[in-house]
Amino acid sequence: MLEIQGLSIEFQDVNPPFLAVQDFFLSMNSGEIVGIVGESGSGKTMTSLALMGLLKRQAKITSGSMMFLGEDLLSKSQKEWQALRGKEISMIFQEPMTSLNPVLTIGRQMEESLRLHTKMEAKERKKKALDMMSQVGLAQPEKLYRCYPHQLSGGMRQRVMIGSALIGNPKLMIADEPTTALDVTIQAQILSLLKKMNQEHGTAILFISHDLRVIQSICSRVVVMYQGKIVESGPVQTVLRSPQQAYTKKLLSAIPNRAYSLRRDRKERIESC
Amino acid sequence: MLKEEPVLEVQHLCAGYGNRRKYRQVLFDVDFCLNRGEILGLVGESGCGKSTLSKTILGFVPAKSGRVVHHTSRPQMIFQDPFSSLNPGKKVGWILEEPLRMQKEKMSASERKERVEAFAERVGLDRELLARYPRDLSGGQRQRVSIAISLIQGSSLILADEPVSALDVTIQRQIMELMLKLQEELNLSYLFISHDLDVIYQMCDRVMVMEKGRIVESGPAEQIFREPQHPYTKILLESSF
Repeated sequence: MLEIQGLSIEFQDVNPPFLAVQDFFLSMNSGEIVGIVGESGSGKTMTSLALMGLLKRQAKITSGSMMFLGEDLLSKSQKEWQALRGKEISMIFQEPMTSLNPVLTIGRQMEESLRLHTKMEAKERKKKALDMMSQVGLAQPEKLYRCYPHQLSGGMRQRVMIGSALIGNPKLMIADEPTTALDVTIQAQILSLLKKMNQEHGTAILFISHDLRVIQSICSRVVVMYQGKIVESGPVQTVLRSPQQAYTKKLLSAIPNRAYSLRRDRKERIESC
Repeated sequence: MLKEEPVLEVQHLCAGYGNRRKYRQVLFDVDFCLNRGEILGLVGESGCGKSTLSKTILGFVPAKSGRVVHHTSRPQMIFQDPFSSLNPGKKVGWILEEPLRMQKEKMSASERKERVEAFAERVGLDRELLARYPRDLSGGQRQRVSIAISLIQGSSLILADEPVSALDVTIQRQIMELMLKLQEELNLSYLFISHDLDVIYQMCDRVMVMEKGRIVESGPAEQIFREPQHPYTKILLESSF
């Protein structure tokens, strides 16, 4: 479904130009969940913005190709992009507070992509929005329909984001750190919601995160990025169980876990001296 | 830690927001004691009152009943997002010097400069970064700056509110190691607030679990994680990976 080959992205407003993404490869089948993992500045977000046609002017794609459903994304005009975004490819971001419009009601934002891409009547749109809101687990959709983003909690806002990204039934959803700002219990809910949506609607998800724990729980394949380059990729279990690259090993060992305690290990070391 | 010497006592604390007509109580009968050299973890979901507790300890939120007893001077705070807590219009060196200019005991400019450089080194900040603005720093470096700010007046009690939650795992590890190193060198006490149970496990001696403004369970970290008693603690532990 999606085929990215040799993609390189360069920032040309600095001298010498800064290569943000270098020779990126990815192919995705429909209905698949693939993870991109790496620390900040590793180029994961740049790659996803390129996929949405949302790169800033200073960032230029210098080489490579991106094919989506047999169409070349790189040759698309602004207008063609607009027809694609929200309909075929949609995106959810880390911080739902900054990416929802604070002066529009939840209902209006849920319907946005229907308004843009379909000729549905207002009533029908509302029905669909309310239906989607209950699907993503928002209670009392009628009441929420008239609320504004600031009246919602972080988890609810993220549900609204997911709902409005899915309402147009896209083939591909890019999820950029969708649970990073959330508590563990809410995080678990959002992840199972994404999995459910993936199964029910067959939406492929490109899941971007720096947290390998999250990647492990949701993705079937993973791409590890470091300084703009792919250092390792493969099935999640293989990569995480027997990492080949030093960087992947470092990422894995830095995950906070309960196998040992930094604090108590240090104390023991000091006391034994 | 031979003798348990309290640096902070919170006694039957109730607090909340609003006025007499419309009051929303957030904390209910919170009672605990933090000892010198101890790292006490506070975990719970957002909205459970973790941040309100630290604000009440610092006096930003008035207590409705109960009290907070400080046995040290100048408790300090480290925040989750160092970008919004550092003045964007000032250079890092100036920001670090500010607490020294504010304090009662006057220091000469050269003494201040010396102390700023000493603490920058202590938290692992290159000296050249002192002449930069916060926006030029990475998230990890900015968190190092806020740690230095919290320590520069000689505080020994630090309230750390989600200090590593906004950072990548590799940077997170560096900051956690730094906080532990500083704790040992300066015999600091931390109230370490986080929603990340694994971070809490790695950092803390004792843990308190908070639900809807109440401490529902507390005890040594190993014990809480191995044998959680309260149903809420069990839910928390199950929903993390």
